Amino acid sequence: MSTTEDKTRKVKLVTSDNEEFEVDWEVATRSVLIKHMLEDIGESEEQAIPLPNVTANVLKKVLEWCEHHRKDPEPAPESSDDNRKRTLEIGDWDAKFIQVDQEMLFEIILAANYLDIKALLDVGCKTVANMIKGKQPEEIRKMFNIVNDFTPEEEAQIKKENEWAEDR
Amino acid sequence: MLVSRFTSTRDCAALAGHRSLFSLNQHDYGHDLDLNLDLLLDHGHVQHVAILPITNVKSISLLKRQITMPARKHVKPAGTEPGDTTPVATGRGKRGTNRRKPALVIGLPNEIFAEVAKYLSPDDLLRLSRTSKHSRDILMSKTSKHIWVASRKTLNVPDCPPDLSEPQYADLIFGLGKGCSFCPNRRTQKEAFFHLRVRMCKGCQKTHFIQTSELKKSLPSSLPSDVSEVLDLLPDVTLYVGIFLEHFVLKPQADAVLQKMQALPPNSEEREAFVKERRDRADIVSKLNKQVYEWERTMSTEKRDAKLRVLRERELNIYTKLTALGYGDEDIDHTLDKKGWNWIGIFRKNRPLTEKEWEAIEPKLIETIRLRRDVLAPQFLEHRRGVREMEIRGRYMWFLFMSPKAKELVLPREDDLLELQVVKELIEENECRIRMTDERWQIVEKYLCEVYSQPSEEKGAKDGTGGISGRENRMRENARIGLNI
Repeated sequence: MSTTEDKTRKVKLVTSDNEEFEVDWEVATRSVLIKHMLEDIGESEEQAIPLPNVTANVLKKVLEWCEHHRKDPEPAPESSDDNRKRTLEIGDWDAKFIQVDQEMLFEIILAANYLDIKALLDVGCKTVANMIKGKQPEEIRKMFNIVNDFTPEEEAQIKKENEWAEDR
Repeated sequence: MLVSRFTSTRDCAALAGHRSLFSLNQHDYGHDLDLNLDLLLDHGHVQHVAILPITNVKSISLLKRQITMPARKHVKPAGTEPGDTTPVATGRGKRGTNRRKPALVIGLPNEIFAEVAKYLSPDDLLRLSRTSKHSRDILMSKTSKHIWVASRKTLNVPDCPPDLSEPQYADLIFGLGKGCSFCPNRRTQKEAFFHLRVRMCKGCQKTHFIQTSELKKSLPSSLPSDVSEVLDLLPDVTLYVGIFLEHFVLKPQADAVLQKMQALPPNSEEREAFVKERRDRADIVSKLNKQVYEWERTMSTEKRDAKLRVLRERELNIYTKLTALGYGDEDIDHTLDKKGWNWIGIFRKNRPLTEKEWEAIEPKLIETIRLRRDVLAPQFLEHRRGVREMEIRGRYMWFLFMSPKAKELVLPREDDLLELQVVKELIEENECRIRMTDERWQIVEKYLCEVYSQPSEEKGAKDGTGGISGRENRMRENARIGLNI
């Protein structure tokens, strides 16, 4: 449980390229990983949290998201019923936030995964899914710079072969 | 094998490196678990595990010193690791060599890829799997089954039958290739034969289907079983032959069953087991068939409704914008448009209108409106006149049959009413743009009461237009006869 002191606390984060960020506790703890780390460190220690998998430019972007969503309620635990419909809609602010180049998009997704920020990870995954949805293989290749390494014969064959690789 | 008992997922995460925390949570390993090294290393991004005594771990800072974070590892396709004996497709040339760096989307760790896939439909996954060998290796590996399952469940697709792989099932259900299962013909009937597990073009239906009556005749006389027993073991389809519905089975399937039945001695255990297995499979297939058809029906209804919703919203959006620009009903009425005018095509796009698109279509729409105003003005006037006349006719009929005043009058026929000067003026006012309101109709009604209730000789004096013409007299006579009043 967070206390009032927690909310006024500042948290230091150090990126893989040794840049230090000082942010509000409420912003930093949008990341479940950081939250757990802070719990481990305890209130007494004022040491920086190392984030060896995140670079400064990505963390800056992630923190921008955390800052905007600092007051968001805790996400509900994942429903066991996987049958629910998943919507691809993204909020206006998030949609604008995620309008970045592809490399940054994937870095944000990886950082959100590493830092355990479920809502941000969802935004990233939905964006990628939106880019793929309804597109033909050729369009997907173009979109993500995927090289078509099938021969024409192989390409014709794979359309018929849909069994698991292990069963072939 | 190294086996260690951990007390919580967080302890596990610490030992496996920070990046595994999400993964472990995602897979719901629970809070008190036995974890072996192999399982932990099975996660795409965990490259090594530092086994530390939990009790000695006091803080993250200690962990930081003791654990070297592994470099980010991309997903491992089946069969590419040295020593990995998983069989993969052969005959594809060198594997794992001379490949370019995989594209970012394919390089995502498995659990994130699965997260993305949850928002994709199985046919999106099929198309993604056909983009490159790398993506195919990943998606066609059994380790990716959960990705297909998650995707399928999102669309409420019935469970995959045991005799098909998830991608095969997706291909059958979504008919992605739209091709024939037997020939390269891409023109095939839209509906797949789910229970036969095939899609077939018309040509192959002729060569690969056999009518059950024909099959009965062709069965070898040596076959010791009851013929109906063989037919019971084969899934069939009903197709029209002329005007009659006939049962057909797939020839290859019939041959396989016949061969097996001939090989098995009557009343043997093997034969019974085979018959039971075939019947059980038939049960599963027919159950699935029902579920799939139901799912397909629901999906197509939902799809159609969603499409209509998007279309209506788009139309409304465009009309609202045009109205805001000051364009009226006739400007946006396309019913009289000439061939080749660009209007309907702009509206009937199955996507919501964006600001950017509006900027592109606005000049085109305005150009069509200009054309309408220039070319169609006479037609629109005629149309408005017709509408006004209809309004007058409606009110006149109501007056004739419902108003007590009408009984005392000798009234003209409907068509003749429209010839009256007073009526014409009302219709033509402002180029026929003014609706026939109650107030305006009162003028007509008043005129009718004044003019048609008097003997003809008195009418001339009362009629402001200079007296009733011979034509109007004839009209009254006609009305008397025509309307029988």
